[in-house]
Amino acid sequence: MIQLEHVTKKFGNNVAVNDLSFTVAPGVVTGFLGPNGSGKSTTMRMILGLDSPTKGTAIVNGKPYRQIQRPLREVGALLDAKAVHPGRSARNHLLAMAASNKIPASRVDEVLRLTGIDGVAKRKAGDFSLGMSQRLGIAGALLGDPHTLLFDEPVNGLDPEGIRWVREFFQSLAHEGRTVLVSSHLMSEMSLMATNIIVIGKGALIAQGSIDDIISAEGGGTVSVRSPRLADLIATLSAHGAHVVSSDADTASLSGITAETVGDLALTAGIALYELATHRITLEDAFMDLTRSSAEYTTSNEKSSS
Amino acid sequence: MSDVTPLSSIRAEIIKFRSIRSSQWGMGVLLLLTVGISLLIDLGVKSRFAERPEIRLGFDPTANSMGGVFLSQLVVGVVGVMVITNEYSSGSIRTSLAAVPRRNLLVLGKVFIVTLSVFVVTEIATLVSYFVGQSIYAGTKIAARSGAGVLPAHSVIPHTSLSSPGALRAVIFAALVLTLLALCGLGLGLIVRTTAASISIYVALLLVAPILVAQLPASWSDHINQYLPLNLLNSAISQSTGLNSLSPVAAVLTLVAYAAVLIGVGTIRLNRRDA
Repeated sequence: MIQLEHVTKKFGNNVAVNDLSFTVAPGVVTGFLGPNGSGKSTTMRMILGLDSPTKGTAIVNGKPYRQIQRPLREVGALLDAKAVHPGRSARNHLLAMAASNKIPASRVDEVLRLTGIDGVAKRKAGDFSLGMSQRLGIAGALLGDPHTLLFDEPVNGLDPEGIRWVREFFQSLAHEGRTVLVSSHLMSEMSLMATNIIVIGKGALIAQGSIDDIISAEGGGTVSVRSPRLADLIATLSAHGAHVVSSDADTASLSGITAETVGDLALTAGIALYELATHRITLEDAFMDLTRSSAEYTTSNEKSSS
Repeated sequence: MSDVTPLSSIRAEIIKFRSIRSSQWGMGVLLLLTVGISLLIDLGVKSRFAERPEIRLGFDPTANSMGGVFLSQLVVGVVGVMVITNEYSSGSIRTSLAAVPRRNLLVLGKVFIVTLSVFVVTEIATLVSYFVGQSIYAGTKIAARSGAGVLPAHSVIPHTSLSSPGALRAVIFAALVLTLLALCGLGLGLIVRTTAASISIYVALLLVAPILVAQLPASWSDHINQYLPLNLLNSAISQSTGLNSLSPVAAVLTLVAYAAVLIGVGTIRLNRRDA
């Protein structure tokens, strides 16, 4: 369980995190989303007691992180895959971490195998690819077999096979009842991996909840229809609350109505349908809508259209 | 029960120190440089002792045989600084602090590894330098020149043994001073965090401070001079305490105070500042 209560972090006059409150519950993977520079990493550093909040409190398992008695056995974290001394071997890096928390060396070899880097464990971490470094970081997070896990952008640099492994692995960790918080800016990946999401922009909370709820809240999706009597059909459907998103000669895209209602109404009105389909909006669409105004860096094209 | 104890932090720091090449290099350079420079100085004394009265005047065989330690003051500072700054430059400080959230324990582990490694290596280096030097002095016969008058015929260069008054103390204090200077480096690294800036400040305190103090009125500079880091090593290993210089024990205690202040301030900053 991770709880943030009204956390604000200022660096000089720059507000990196602004009155942020959320709770990360155990049992599911929680995605932590936001554009670049939105304060995700700062928030994670505050959860780990590396940065102190200017205001508010970040609590892990009921305590500020710095007061935890068994840090690596309670909380595992991957903040920055490259935050390893480049001249130290992967195994020695993990051995030092393990020694600091009285974790036996045998566990180091276990997590090396678990993350698939046991073959390169004696190589210097500085020679690792980003993908291998991510695996080393994940191995470090797992060292103490903790109940709470934080991963900052863990799939960066991983190949498709690695991404799939991370997704299934994190889900299995969550199914074991652990709290798993994963930050990412890859929406498609998050929609596959996470059940709940927390979306922030410019350091402030934009949305939190299950992915399904957030997509529904953003309008859910559209229904497309093709009919030889499109104008008659649209007139009928509009009377039942449908909004036309776009239309051409014989095809229309509608919101505010389900495919079932469209089919029933068309049957009642005696209008033939050639095509009828539901298009759910993706998490990416919902995210873009939610964060458009708060993206730190937008291209000039996006700016002029928004 | 807490997983993170003083002992567990020390064990982690031992693994960290041993597992990177820069610290192995640092220790090797420290040993070779101390012994090597001491040997060169010994050879200079051997060849010139007879004809150079200025060498003979106030010749301190114990301190002179460990002459390499003066250059080693720079090496130990770099070693001490880098024990902490390499964690900042690589970013591994965040991993370290996540594993050891209580900052004081992390500092304790680093103080221990710096003290242990630098003291052991410099003690070996000063002992080797001392014995090599004394055997060179004892084996160098000085032919009495006609009219020289000062040197008895068939004498050798003055030398000491560890049982001579003050000799063992000097050999131990030389290593102790270098260890304390390494701890000063660690303290500076904790405060400043970047390698280049920390080393620059260390070198400035060691080598530039005497130049600045020399600009002060003589009554001030004579007083301040004895507390300058550069003069403390000399005071700590000399057999005779000169005018306006500290006794060996006072010199070591002064450095203990410097190291304690720097590490204390560094620890406070580590506790208060974001990592």
